[in-house]
Amino acid sequence: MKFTAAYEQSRDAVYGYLVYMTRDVSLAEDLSQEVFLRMFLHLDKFRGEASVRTWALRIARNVFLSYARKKQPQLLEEQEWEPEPDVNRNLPEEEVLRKEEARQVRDCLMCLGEQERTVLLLRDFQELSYEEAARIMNLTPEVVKSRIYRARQKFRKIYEDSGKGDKAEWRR
Amino acid sequence: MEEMKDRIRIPRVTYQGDDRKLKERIFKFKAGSFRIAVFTLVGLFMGFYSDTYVRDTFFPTKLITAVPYKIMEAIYQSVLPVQNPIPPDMRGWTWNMIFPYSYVANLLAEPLTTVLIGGALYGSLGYFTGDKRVFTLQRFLKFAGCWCVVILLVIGAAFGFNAGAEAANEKFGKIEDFFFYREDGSGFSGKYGIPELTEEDFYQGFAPGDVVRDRNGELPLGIYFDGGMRYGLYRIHYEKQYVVTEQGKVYYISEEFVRYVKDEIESNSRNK
Repeated sequence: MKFTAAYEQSRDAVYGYLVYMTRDVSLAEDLSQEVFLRMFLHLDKFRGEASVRTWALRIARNVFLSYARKKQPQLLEEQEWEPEPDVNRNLPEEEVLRKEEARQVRDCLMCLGEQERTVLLLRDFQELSYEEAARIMNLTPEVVKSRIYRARQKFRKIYEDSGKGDKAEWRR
Repeated sequence: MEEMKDRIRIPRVTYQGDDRKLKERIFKFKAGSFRIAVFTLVGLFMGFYSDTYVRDTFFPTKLITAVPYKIMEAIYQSVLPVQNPIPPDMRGWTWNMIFPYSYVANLLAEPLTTVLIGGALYGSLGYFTGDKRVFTLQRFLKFAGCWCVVILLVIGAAFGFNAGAEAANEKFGKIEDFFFYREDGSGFSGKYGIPELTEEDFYQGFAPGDVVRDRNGELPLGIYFDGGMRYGLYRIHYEKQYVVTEQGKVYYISEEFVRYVKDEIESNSRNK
């Protein structure tokens, strides 16, 4: 497989995962670059047992964990509710709403632990199967199932407690 | 299906980063890798010729050339205190500086370890001149770790070959050449000094003995085995016709062998 194809297929997935894991766009960009570089270096080891996206997300998780352990251990823990500052004043209303929604989700996700955040992102954001999520997290699909259930419940509770949520809005 | 309705809706995010940055990093990685490969090759070359520092008279180049060889010497003679048990004037025509018994062990120790040290040193220099964001400390530690493993394996193999040769010396073997020493310490190769002397002459009547050793009458005897790949230093007593191994095992030798050698040594001494 060519690097360009692998990059195109996994770029948004990797970046999205890292944005929600770090809540920092520029840090997510830096870490994404590191992930893509690792993909470039180890492309010959990719045997195609999983999809490119799963492989890339596995690398992204390792890069994130390695960074967080060394530089920002608080990213691995549940954090207190702390909304990001509103910087969208001059944007069109629709864009403001979209950004506001993303911001609220990021804020709520940060109140979850690393494992809960990851499982939620892999399943609900990346829409991976239980098997794929399990492969990335080195868990069994059954454990992923039970964790996703608990993570969703916790997320909803945090969202409701933040006083801004409408329970129905968070269901598809 | 079971939980589609249960899913949390997380808004899409599109990558906003600049692809040029990634291209730049990949380019730097490729260029850096090439530089490391070139530096490593130069290092291997410098390691190979490192022992020529002794002939260099210009101090700065002498210093640069000597580094891999001196590190090798320090490893074997200081870190791993290898004591060459054979004094320099009793090594016959062998050039084994580190491991006297085995040519292969010495080959692994002296030139090969030096070559590898040269490669590791210069390769590391190549690493440090690369982009720090791409060639991180972690990656360097992996690079250095690989070199350490290779060098340690070579060192281990050298010790293994030397130990094997040392053990084999006690059992003698297929003789390539003798190196005889006179009482004054000078010596000569059997092949050139006594060309008619054969391996059979040595082994004729060769048998374990239990004589009381007369250390004052013993002279060193160097023997090359297996096409010169192994060297052993023994003690020989021409009057009592015995030879002693390094670990003190005594063997009788044939009268014919002794006669050949004694004749050569005596005629040599008379001609002096």
